[in-house]
Amino acid sequence: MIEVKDLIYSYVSEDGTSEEVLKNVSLNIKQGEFVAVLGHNGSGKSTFAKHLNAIFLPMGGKVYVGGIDTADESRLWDVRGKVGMVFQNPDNQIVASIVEEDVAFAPENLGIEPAEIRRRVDDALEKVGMSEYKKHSPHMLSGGQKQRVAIAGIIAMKPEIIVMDEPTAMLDPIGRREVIQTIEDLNSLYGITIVLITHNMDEAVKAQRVVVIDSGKVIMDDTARNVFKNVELLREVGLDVPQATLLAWELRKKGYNIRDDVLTVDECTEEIYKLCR
Amino acid sequence: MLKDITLGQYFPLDSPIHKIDPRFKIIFTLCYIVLIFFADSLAGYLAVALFSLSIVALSKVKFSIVLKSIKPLAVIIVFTAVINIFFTAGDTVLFEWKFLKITQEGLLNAVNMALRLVFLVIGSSLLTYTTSPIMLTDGIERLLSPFSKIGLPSHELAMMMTIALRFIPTLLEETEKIIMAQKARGADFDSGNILRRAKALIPVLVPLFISSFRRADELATAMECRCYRGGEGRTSMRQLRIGRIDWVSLLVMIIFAIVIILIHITNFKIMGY
Amino acid sequence: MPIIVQNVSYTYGKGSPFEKLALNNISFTIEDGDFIALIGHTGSGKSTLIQLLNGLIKPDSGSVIVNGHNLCDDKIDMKKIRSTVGIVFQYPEYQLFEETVYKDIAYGPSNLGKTPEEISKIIDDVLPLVGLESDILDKSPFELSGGQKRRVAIAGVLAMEPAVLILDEPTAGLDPAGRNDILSCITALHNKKNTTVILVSHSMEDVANTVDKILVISDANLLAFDSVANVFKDSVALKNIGLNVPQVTRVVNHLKQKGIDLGDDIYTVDSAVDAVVRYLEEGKKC
Repeated sequence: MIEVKDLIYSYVSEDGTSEEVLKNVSLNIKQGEFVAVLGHNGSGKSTFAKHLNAIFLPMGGKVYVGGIDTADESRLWDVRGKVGMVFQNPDNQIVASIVEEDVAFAPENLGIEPAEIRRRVDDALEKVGMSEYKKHSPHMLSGGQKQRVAIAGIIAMKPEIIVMDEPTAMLDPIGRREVIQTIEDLNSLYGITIVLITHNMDEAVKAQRVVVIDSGKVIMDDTARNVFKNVELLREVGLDVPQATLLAWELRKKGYNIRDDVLTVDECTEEIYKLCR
Repeated sequence: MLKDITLGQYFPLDSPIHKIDPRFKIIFTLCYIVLIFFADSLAGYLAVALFSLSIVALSKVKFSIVLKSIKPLAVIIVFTAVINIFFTAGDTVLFEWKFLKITQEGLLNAVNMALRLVFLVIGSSLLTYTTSPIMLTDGIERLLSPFSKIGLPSHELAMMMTIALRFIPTLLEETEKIIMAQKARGADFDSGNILRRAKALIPVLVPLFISSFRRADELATAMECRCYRGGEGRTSMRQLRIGRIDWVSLLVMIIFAIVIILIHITNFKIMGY
Repeated sequence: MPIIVQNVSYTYGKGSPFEKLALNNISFTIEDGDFIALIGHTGSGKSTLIQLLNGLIKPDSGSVIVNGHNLCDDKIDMKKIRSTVGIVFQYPEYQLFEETVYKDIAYGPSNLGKTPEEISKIIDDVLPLVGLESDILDKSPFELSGGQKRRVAIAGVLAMEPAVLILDEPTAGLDPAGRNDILSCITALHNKKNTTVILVSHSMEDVANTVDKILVISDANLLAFDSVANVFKDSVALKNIGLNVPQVTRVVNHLKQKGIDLGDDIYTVDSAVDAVVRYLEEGKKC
């Protein structure tokens, strides 16, 4: 569905020096996948995300969305309609002062007929569990609720894929849980393809596939289980692993017989239980 | 707290006035304002007062709230009245002291102006009390859309209003946060002369501007990501449909206009024999 | 200089339709050199509490006594209190405004009436505390990276030389490396200058790794103010108010339910590793 080929991108600063942020990134994202893209701040992961719906255009290489070259200006709005984007700060992506008006924004822009917009808005709010707030004013909502409204606004556009650029970075734990649950539901219940950009390990664990980007290169691309085995490498690139994984890894390092792909609290408990029994 | 200020002061009640199409309501309000200036006799004022009070009653908005809306304008009302009292030329002098002269005409003029202002404020605040900001924006956009052919950016104006309404509470909240933070760094906003106080605001205004620009930039990107490309080809989820209540209200408005104009004409005839 | 909070209540937005009880009859005492985490949900009253502690707002009833001065006293010198209790608000980099980093850090101390010489000395002093080099001083704060901006903002509060430092989620939005850097700066500051630190945090893992005591606020009430061990011991009470214990503590608790008791007071990965090793070694002996 999305094909990224040898993507190169550099930032050029005012004094003329340029800094290469993406160096030959190649990646394919298939329909229905839930992919987490991990990397520390400044690794290039956000820049990568912004290439997926033509906010940025490649300086080298190509990005294809459903076969369309994102650099093809005449197809710009097709690309934007296929790839929805959710950003970090929910406040700065909500346009209207009533929840349902905001969710209607994208379909209105696409010139869809009113009755169909109504259906899409109700459906989108239902999917993120915000139906009862449809007449509310966004600024009275919590961070997690606002972010869900922002996600509904994208769903109403009926994109084939949703790219989320650190959607939980500004939220408290409850907001995080709400948003991550929503994202998981969108993928598992409604089959929406998700690309989740994050540096939070507990979130990445939920994805089927984890891509790690460091200094503009893809250094790992595998299942969450296989990626999190590499505790040392992840730490080297400024990332962390969940405490459960770390505990199992430390014990394994001490020579105990523990699985090398522990991800969750339950798995960790189970492994230690086996040891101590 | 700054953010507790409710903007536009919309009262979401269930009343016939609330249900009138915003386009009609905007036009009615404009007609009402024009008609106020035709009411220049006791009978005229009585008619306007009766009409305004009935509308307020129908709208279910508490009368005390409507009265409160006049309060901020009290100074202006008193000021215009005073100006009219002292500076209207007239023959029937009621009171004279040195250069100050109060004439009957002046007094009448003052009462006229004060009453008109009061009615004007009541009428226009009733519009915002009974119409949600978003409906108001919608109404304005649609009323102005015929003029977009001659280059009036009606959609852009409406979009600006929408975004302003959306971000005013956010920015007020942010201002409050920045003020707190700078106070914690020893900033003093309450002492010194005006110049000093203005200068003390720089540490609040600079971060506020920077963050507003950042917000604007992010919002623009988010809007483009949601396929926003101006007003052309855009549809709207909310369809404004003209219904019975709109025709009824139109009828009432026409009757009111005829009454006011009749009173005006007859009054004029009496004055001029 | 202890901070004594006595029977403090505060209602937010009094008289408006948004009126809400933010703090309900709260009392506690913070001693010199305490390293405390303040935990609780958004809207629990945390923000109100930290604003009360340096007099940005005044309690409706009760008293806040800082270093013997009652903050409710109208005649009190607020600047002195502000220099005693420093607050680093959330996303402090959004408050930077000066042309250069130097001037921005100098804003606080100059408000306090320090001379340029004193300020220059203070800045030399605080820069290393937040892990910054002096070549940054002439730069514009707006051309720095996110992590650097945050350090500059924290330095701006440290420059007021507070004896008590309150930080509201100083690691919000940072990646793991940035988070660890900031937390170790704070720990170092506490150790070096014996500054009393109150750290507002949502991450129980971070809390367990850094502080000595935890203050729990829920729904305007003070739920607990105790050692890390004692607060995390009652994981059910925390769960009831929607908070959690660190992941490793959950592993240990689950094991206990299954009949394997690794012991109490385990809330860091290191202590959990030790406990498991100890348990297995003892098992071998039997």
